[in-house]
Amino acid sequence: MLTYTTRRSLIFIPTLFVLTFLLYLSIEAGPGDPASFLLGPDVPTSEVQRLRHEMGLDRPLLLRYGAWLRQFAMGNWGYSMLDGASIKGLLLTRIPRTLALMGLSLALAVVGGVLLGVISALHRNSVVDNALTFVGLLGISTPAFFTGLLGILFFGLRWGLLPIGGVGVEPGLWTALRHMILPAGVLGFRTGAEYLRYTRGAMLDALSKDYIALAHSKGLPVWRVTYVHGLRTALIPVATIIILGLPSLVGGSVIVEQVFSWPGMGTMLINAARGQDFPVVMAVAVIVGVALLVSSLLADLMLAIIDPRVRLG
Amino acid sequence: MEGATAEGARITWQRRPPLLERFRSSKYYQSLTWITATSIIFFVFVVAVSTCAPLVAPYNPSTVNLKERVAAPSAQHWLGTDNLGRDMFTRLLFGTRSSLIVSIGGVLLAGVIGLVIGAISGYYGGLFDQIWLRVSEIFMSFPSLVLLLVFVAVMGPSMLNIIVIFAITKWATLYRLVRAQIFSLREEEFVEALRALDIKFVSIVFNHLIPNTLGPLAVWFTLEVASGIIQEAGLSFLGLGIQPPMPSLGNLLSAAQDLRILRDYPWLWIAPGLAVAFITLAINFIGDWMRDVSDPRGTR
Amino acid sequence: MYQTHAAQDERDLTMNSEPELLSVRNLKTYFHTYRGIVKAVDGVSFDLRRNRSLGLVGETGSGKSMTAFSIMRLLPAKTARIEEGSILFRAQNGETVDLTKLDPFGSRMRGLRGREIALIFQDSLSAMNPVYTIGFQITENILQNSEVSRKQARDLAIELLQQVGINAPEKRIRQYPHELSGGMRQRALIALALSARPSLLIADEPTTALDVTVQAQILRLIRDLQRDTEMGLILITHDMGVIAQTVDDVAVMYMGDIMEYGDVYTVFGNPKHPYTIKLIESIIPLGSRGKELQPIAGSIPDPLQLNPGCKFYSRCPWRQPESEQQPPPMIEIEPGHFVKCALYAR
Repeated sequence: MLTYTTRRSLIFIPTLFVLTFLLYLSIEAGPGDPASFLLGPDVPTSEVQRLRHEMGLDRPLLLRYGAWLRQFAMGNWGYSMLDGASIKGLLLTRIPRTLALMGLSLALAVVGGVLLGVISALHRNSVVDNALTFVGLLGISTPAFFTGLLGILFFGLRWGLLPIGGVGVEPGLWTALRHMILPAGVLGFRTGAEYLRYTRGAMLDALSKDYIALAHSKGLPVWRVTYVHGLRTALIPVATIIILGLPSLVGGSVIVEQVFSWPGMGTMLINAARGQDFPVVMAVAVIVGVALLVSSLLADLMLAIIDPRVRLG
Repeated sequence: MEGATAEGARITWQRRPPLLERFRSSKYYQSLTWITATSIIFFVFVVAVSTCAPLVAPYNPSTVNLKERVAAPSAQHWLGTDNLGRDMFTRLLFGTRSSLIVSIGGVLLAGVIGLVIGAISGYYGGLFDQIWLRVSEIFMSFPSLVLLLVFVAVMGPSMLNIIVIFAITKWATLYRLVRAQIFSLREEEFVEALRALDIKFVSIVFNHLIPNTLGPLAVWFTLEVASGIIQEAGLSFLGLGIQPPMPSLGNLLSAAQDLRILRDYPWLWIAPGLAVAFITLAINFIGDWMRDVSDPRGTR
Repeated sequence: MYQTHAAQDERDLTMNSEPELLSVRNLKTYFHTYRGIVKAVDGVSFDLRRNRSLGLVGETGSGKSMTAFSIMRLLPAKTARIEEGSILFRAQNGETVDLTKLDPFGSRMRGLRGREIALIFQDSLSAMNPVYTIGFQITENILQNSEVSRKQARDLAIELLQQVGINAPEKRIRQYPHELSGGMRQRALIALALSARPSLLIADEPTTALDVTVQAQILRLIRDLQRDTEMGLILITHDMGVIAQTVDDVAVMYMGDIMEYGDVYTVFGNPKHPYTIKLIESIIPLGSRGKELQPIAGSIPDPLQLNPGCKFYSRCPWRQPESEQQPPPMIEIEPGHFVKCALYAR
């Protein structure tokens, strides 16, 4: 297994470099110069010049890029172009909020989507199945923010059941949860719909395989054939899809955060994109990129654990 | 023992039945359901109407009429008016039009890029292939919205830019598809025969690659257009897509960010939202149908 | 009922007159598709005793696999149905039960599957679950169908793997299906089928996915195992050479019907049915260079539009006019040798 991990890491590293290089080019392509973003707004020009020279920003492109990377790696993530705030500080408060929202959405989506997908597959072509399939299609076709708006309209404004945005002033778990239910529910519904479709497909596919007939021919009880042989094997592609779908979950959470004014990384990214605040965009993009690469690495490991065919690959 | 009729060694072909009969017995017709057929009709209708929006719309989308601001739906204004007195129905038509232009245009461009690079990559291999493979991996694994946001931040939002950005973010999946197809074609013996005869790469692409890839290509196309419509709606909603005053389904929806409008003037935003949902739903049904035809695994 | 006891004794005097293990009578399995009814098995009858083997030979689509699945009651529930006929099986407790009357997933039928009737699948790779080890899949069968402990099941599995000719069985049981070669996997599949000591073994094209050298080994293995355990064996294949060297009796199937039936030497040595004759003619023996290929003229008719008469009518060089509409009778032209053809009705 060790060789498997090492081999995957080899792809991880150059991809990361290419990503950050592309992003650095974006910074350079925009207004202002990189050094000033590393020091913040209250620093005299002479300081900026000195840093520039120190970092070697007056040297060829690749070296400039390398200098910036080194700064980033050392923990200097720069300052916002728009309001001069420390990016790292901002991120440290916002990342946990985004993680909480994404976590809850993912949990809801996995439990709801996979469960309903299995039910849908087991009762194929019945009323339940048709209804669930339609709900699934509806879920992936309706943009999350529209569902969000509808949610705000009904649950928040008309019926006054849930808060309509923000994270609440009172501290405490219950307040946070109340504010998270609607956005997480909306995002979870959207993502869960995808999982429902995939699980249904994977389950139907697995159940049509020869080894299911073999399992029946052993005289095993039907539940055992369905779950131990069918579902277990179907979960492999489903797990893969879930992991591969994490990037779009990030995208979805960005929009949902905006709709519900949830002060997470998403709203930060959007404001930065609107204002062409490149250092912020870059920092967020790098964080997201690294997080995703790490999670796909973990996913590969997990896949190797649950699918023996992958191990020797 | 099976196959064409062989009396002695003579093979007799039967006359090809007329087009309608061939269609009726083809797999396309067999797996057609009422929903899919309705979706196709609906989608064609929407495309037709929105393309002819300038001819069909009752008003000009930018005509401001401050005397009739935020009017509820009525006989003169089927969907009411917005905060500047512009007719919402017209704006919906034009909005659908711009959303469709951007999505279909972007996907078409992505398709051309993916096809060309994929074909060359798969056929010639080598360093070119390795490089583009890695590049495609990046574009495929990065969250599309973040990628879109990054490019919009860099390039600035506009209809043309969005088309280009869509092309940049969507080509990778088709690239992989085409590349895989060319790989399998390369193994086929008849391609070796063609190479021996020195038939050019271009001819192989047109005469063999494309016909074989049509199925998955059509599925890819429909699904990417569907996701494109949602992405455009999202971007424009955030103010990072098609810029006002030009209407798009997304920026019509962004009006709802104002809580007053959300609650009191539902006609302003529910219609564009439903439009996005229904159009995407229809495209998804069509895409599912195409997938059923080209990937018959009987799991539906 | 056309297999008479007299014919049986005449052929093999040393055999005790045991009752039949399996007695299939007029089995009809139809598939109801949205385009029409496909008569996959259309009136098949045969008998099988313990320690005897029957080969079902025919082209693809002849219904041989479907016959096997009908016996095992493993047909796709929504589209396939046993319309008529009976499958009488003599269970190990002495009772004779009609399998067509049982609920396919009820406890009675499940109890018979694996424990008394076993099936060997054609493609060993797709037949085994890729996420479980060989050992797991074999012990699962043992534990389901016999009262032994887990450890005993494991030891039994190792022993079985040894018996089927797999070396280093302790290592193999911890391996996954894709880690074994095709031949070994097929052996493992055979071990699995035998692991609960069935009295009836059905092998569906067990060697088709293997290369020729391995084929011979597997066939010999099956035959030896059958002799050792005195099981009844039904071997399904399209390869007549395989039939000729492995089984005692043969039934030649075409489009869901048995065309000719009898012991293998008689049928192959003295084929009577036009289809059988054509089949044998189309095989090219080694060393016959320069001879033209002799395919059977015509192609398989559309299964949705069969004429009510003889299924082979459209391709038969000796077709009798009345056979187009009237199904031909099954004639016993010699003791124990049956042909379904109007040619012999005079």
